[in-house]
Amino acid sequence: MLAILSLAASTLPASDGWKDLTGEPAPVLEASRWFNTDGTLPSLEELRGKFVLLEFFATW
Amino acid sequence: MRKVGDLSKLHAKYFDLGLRVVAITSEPSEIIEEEMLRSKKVKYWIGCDPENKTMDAYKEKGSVGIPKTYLIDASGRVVGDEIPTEEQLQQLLEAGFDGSLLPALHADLGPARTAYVRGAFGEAWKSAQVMASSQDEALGKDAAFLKGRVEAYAKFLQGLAESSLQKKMPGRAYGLWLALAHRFEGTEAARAAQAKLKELKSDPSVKKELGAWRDFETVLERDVKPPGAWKADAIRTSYEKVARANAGTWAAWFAEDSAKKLARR
Repeated sequence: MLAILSLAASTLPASDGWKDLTGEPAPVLEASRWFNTDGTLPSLEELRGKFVLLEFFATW
Repeated sequence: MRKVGDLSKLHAKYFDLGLRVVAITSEPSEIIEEEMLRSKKVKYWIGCDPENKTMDAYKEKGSVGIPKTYLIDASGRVVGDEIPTEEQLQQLLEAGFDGSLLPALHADLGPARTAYVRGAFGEAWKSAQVMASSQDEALGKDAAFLKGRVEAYAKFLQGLAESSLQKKMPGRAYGLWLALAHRFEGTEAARAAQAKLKELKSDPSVKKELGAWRDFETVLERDVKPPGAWKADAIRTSYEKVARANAGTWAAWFAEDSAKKLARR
């Protein structure tokens, strides 16, 4: 549990206009097409009890 | 995109322990196929979300940029917004096995769940194993899930024990294998741990502390298989006594850690 707290403490302060998501329930992951999932959809059911490292990205 | 190789490595290394690396983009799937998948370096999950459904849902709760990383724990909460170090990740993965994070399960799994929560993982596994083949689909699914959690936790601890040995910390490895042998009794992992313990007993640093380990093991046995009703406070006091009597040994470290975990309940 210590690790969770220290990670939370390292997030950006709210004062610079950045609203911190830490501690919030994560919204469902939706996509119209998935790659590399071997047919599994990363639904809430599939991800229950799992950790997710979520990355928003662009190729540009 | 940054760190493609790093993210792929994390996804592969910790997949069996419950980590999923999921990358979401608003770019069309043709571009992703063209730019990323052809190289075959990307092993993690990629979702194309041109309508920005996922990002909009995150934006409703907080700020999102590109690129941006979020770490979501086993209970479905955002717990960080940076790529964790491997050590942080290991701590988070272990915390994820805590009984408090178990989702709601079928009522028939009540005793198995109780066993899991108090750290008698072998008992939970045996009971879930029987119910995993149930005709009742919902029960079978939840039982398979619980069984999978126990197996994943055992695998995690086995990995820690092996790496402790590689890092020349046989005392730490010994404690982890003791935990595997007792807490996961009845599973393959416990049998494998027994064999490891036998081997390691002749290691000079372990041999020197065998008395302390025996003290610890006596309490551990009572913790996992109490003679009467299981009483957290009494067990905790016993662990604390072991820690005090054997200060400076690995056995004391494990006793203290077990006492701390009990105090959090």
